Amino acid sequence: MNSSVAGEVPAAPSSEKSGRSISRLIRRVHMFTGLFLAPWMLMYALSTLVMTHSDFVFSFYSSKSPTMVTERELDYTRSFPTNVTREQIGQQILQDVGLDGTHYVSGGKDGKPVVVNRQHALVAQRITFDASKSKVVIEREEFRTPTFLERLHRRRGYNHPYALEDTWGFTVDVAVVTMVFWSLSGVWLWWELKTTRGWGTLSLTAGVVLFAIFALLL
Amino acid sequence: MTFDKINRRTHLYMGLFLMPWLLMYGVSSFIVIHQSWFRSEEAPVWEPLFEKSYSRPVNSQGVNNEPDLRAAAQEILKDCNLEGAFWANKPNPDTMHIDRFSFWEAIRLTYSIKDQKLKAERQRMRPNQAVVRMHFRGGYGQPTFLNKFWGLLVDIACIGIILWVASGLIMWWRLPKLRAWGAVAVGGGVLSFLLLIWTL
Repeated sequence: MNSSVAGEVPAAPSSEKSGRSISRLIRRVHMFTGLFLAPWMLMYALSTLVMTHSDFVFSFYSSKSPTMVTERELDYTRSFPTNVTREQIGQQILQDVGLDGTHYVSGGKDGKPVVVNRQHALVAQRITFDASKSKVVIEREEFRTPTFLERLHRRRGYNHPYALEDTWGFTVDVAVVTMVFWSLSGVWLWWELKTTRGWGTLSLTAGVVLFAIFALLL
Repeated sequence: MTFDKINRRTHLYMGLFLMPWLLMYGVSSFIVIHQSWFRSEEAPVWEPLFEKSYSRPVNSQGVNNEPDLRAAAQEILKDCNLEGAFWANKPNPDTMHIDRFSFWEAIRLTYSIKDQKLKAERQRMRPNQAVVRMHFRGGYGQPTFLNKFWGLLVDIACIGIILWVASGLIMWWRLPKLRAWGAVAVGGGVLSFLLLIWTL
């Protein structure tokens, strides 16, 4: 109904009007959230394809893991008391070299170097502190699209004490809750289109039955 | 039939067909992100299933999931009527482990080559754990037709998502009244995503 001629036609009952406005709202939310979250959905779809076909994808590369390229080598004279954990050492090194952010620490036992794996969405970095040589070596991972996609897919957020990590976690939460909304609102929107009910019922039933069979048998 | 109509119908019917997968990925992702809310980290108890004398030569030297080891594991599973998806490893020369898994349960087989004993234990999954197992299942590496067909459906779901994005963008562009707000949504999404990736 065109709003400019709304006054010339008999007024619809109020329940019908509110039904239409709810339907219009759902349609708009379905569309605008879809447009906003399109990059997340593309990333999840492409990264899943990369992960399920990893043998094929990595056959285009000379090695399965990307090579590490040395960025910088620094003299590092700070000494740490023996009661300090390797996590605290890692945190301090990152702050000293100006790379504070999401990371995990390995090594550091029996005189072995402390290795700080600094996570980045684009290229990960590895910071190695060898106390016996008073040296810090900063390496970065060679960029590979499949590795980048897989890393983004696996990043959940919330696990580290950094605001950016929580922001990413929040966007992932929004994306997954919206996926549930799209599923349910899509069924609602389809049901309103009377001409598509036949084929729509067939599509929905085929999907639900197939999924149920797999859920029970696999 | 016009291109617009084909585009709309593709978006709609594909959406209806793949709705259970989208719902499953949405719910399972939420559970994975917020594991502590759903007690997903708590492993269910292992119940004994059987323990029996068993003999089969295992020639593999023990690299996880190497073809020879998988072939031997598959034979053992066949002997026990437990064929399906599995992982195999040989932590030491005398022991072989087979993890036979499905959405709703896990069966752990321990074959003691030296003692010629085969022990099986079962773990039943809660619904939240079963949904998460569906999420992580994909690819074509496991035996049986059903496993490979599930891999195909996961691929179809991924291609479906890419097509939804493409057909959704076309549908939006064909609605002149919504172009401005739609552009704000697309631009906002792309910029937020790029900014996060750049800084994350």
